[in-house]
Amino acid sequence: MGATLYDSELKVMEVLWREGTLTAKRVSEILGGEIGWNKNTTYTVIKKCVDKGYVRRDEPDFQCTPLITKEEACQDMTNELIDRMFSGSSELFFSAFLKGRGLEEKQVKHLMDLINESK
Amino acid sequence: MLSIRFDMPLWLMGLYGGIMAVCVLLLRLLLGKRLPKRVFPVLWAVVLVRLFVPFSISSPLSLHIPLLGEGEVLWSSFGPVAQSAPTVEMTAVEPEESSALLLGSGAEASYNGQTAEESQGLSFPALDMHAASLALLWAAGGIGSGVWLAWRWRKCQGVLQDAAPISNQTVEQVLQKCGVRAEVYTCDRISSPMAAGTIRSEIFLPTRMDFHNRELLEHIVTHEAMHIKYGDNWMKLFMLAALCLHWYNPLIWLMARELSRDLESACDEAVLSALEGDSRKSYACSLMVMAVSGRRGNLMYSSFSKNEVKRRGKGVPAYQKAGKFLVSLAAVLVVGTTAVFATGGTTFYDSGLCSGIQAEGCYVMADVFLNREIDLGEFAQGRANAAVYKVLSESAGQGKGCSQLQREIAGALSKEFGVEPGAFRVKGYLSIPRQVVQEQYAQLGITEKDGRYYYDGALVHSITDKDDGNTFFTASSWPDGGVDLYILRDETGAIKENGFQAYLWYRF
Repeated sequence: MGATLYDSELKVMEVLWREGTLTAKRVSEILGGEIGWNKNTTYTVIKKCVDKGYVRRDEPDFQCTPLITKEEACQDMTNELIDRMFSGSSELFFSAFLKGRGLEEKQVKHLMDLINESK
Repeated sequence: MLSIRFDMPLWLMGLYGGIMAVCVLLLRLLLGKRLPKRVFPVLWAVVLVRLFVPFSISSPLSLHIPLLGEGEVLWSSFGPVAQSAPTVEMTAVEPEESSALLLGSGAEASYNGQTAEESQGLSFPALDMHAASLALLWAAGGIGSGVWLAWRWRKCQGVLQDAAPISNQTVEQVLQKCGVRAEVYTCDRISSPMAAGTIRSEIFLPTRMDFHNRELLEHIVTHEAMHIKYGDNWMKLFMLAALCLHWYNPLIWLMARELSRDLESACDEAVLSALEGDSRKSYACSLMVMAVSGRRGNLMYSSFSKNEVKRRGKGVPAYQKAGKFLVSLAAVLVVGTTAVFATGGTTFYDSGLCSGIQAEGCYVMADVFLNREIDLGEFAQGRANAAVYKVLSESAGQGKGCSQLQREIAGALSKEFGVEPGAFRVKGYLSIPRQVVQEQYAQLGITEKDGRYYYDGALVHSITDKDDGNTFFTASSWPDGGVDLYILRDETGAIKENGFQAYLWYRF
C-alpha cells in the first residue's frame, strides 16, 4: 500500500466498494456504462490497482477483491498527503485546505444568493 | 473608389490592432450586457485579421488620422520621397529672383526647406542601425514567446497523455444534438473539462467528475461542444500566433485574456439559450461545481476556469434571450465596426499629386495632396494638372480668393476622377507676377530704379509684403536704405485698405 490512487483507479475502487467482489469483465461493463471506458482501459486501470496492492485478483475469471475499505483508503491518502506536504501537521493541512479553495465559503454563498434571487 | 494594397508594415498592423482591441473593449464595457455574447468573439476575429494580414484598404470611409496624416513630412521619410521634386525645382528657380522679390514662393520655400531638413534628419544612416537592432530584438522576442508557449503546450500535452477514450451514451447524445464530432476522453490529471484540438476535436473530462450526475455531464459537454462548433480553438491558435508576432504589445496580451473570457461567455450563452428556466439555474450550479475543483484558465485550450466562474455565474440569472432589435443592432455593429476597422487605418502612400500649378492672370498657385490612398489610374498627375490649370485659368481676373479656389479645385478633381472631394487636400497660395506687384507698388508710391526701391524719394531699407494667411510672404532688405515698408494683402492678392505702412527713419 501507500502509493496514491489516481482518479481512474478510484473509479474502479468505488465500483468494488459498492458492489463487493466482481469479475474484471463485470467491472468493465459497469464502468463502460457509467463513464464510457472501453474494456482495455478498465483492464489497464484494474492492473494498476493490483500492482499498487489495493486489489487482489483471483482465478477463475479475474475475480477482483478490494483489499482496503473506502475509509481506510481515505485515511491512507490523507495521512500520506499530510506527511508529505505538511510535515505531518493536520493544522497546517487544514488551513491550507481552506485557503487553497479558489472560491471562499462567502463567495459560494454569494453566488448561491444570486441564483436564489433570480427565482 | 477602393484601393487595396498588401504592404502594411508589421508595427503599423500592431498599432492599428491595438487601437481596435481598445475599441472592442470599450464597446463591451458600454453594451456588453445587452448584446448577444457571440458578437465579441466575432469582433476579436476581425482584430486578428488586422493583426495578421497587411492589407490596407482606402475608401471614402477611411479616416484621415491626423497623427499619421501629417502626411507628406513624416511619411515621405519612410515611403517614396514625395517632396524631393519641388525642392529641386525651388533651388533651380531661386537664384534668378533672389535679388528682390521672391514672389509667391516664400511660403513654399520655407515649407520645402523644412521638408528637406526633416527627411534628411529621419533618413540619417543611424536610423538604419536602429531599425536593424529593433528588428533583431523583435525577432528574439517573437521566438522567445513562441518557445515559452510551445513549452507550456508540451506540458499540457504531457498531462493529457494518459487520457482514456470513452464512449458514453449521454455524451454522444449531446454531441449529436449539437451537431459536433469529437473524441471524448477522461483524464486523471485535469480538474476541469476542456475542448482541445483544431482539425481533430477532442473533449477531455476530469475522471473524478461525477458521471452519475447526468445533468452536469450534459451541461459540460454541451459547453465544450459549443467551443468546437464555433471553432474557438482555431481562434485561440491564431491568438497565440498573434502573441508571438506582436509580443511587445501589451494590448495584444490583454486581448488574449479578454478573448478567452469572451469565448467562455459566448459558449455559456449558447448553452443557456438551449435551456429553459430551472435548467438555467442548474447550469449555474454546474459552473460552480466545476469551479470548486477547477484550476486556473488556460491559454491553450477552452476550459472552465475558477477565476471566471463568479463573473459567469452572475450572468446566468440575468440571461435573457436577445430580442430581434438587439440581434439586428449587433449585426449592424459588427458590420459597421468591421468596415471602420478595415478601412480606418491605411499604410503609407505617396500623397503628392500636383505641385505649383499656376495660370496666367490668376494670382493663386495650387498644390494638391491626397488625403487617402487612391488609385487614380493612368496619367493621374497629368490629368490632375490639367484639371487644376483649367480652374485657375478660368478664374483669371475674377479676383477669387485662395479658399474659394481650393474648393473649386477639389470639386473639379472630384469630377475628373470620380472620387469624393474630401480625398483631395488643395493648398492654394498667392503667387503674383513680378510685373503686377511692381504696378501695385507704383500705386502706393514705391518706385523701382536699378533694382532698388524708393519711397517718397528715399531709399528703401526693407519691404515686408504678406497676406493674412502668411502664404505669400516677402521680406527683402537692403542695409543702406532708410525706409521700412509694410504691405498687407487679402487672400485674393489685393492690397488691403489701410494695408500699407511706411516708416521713414532716415533719408539717404
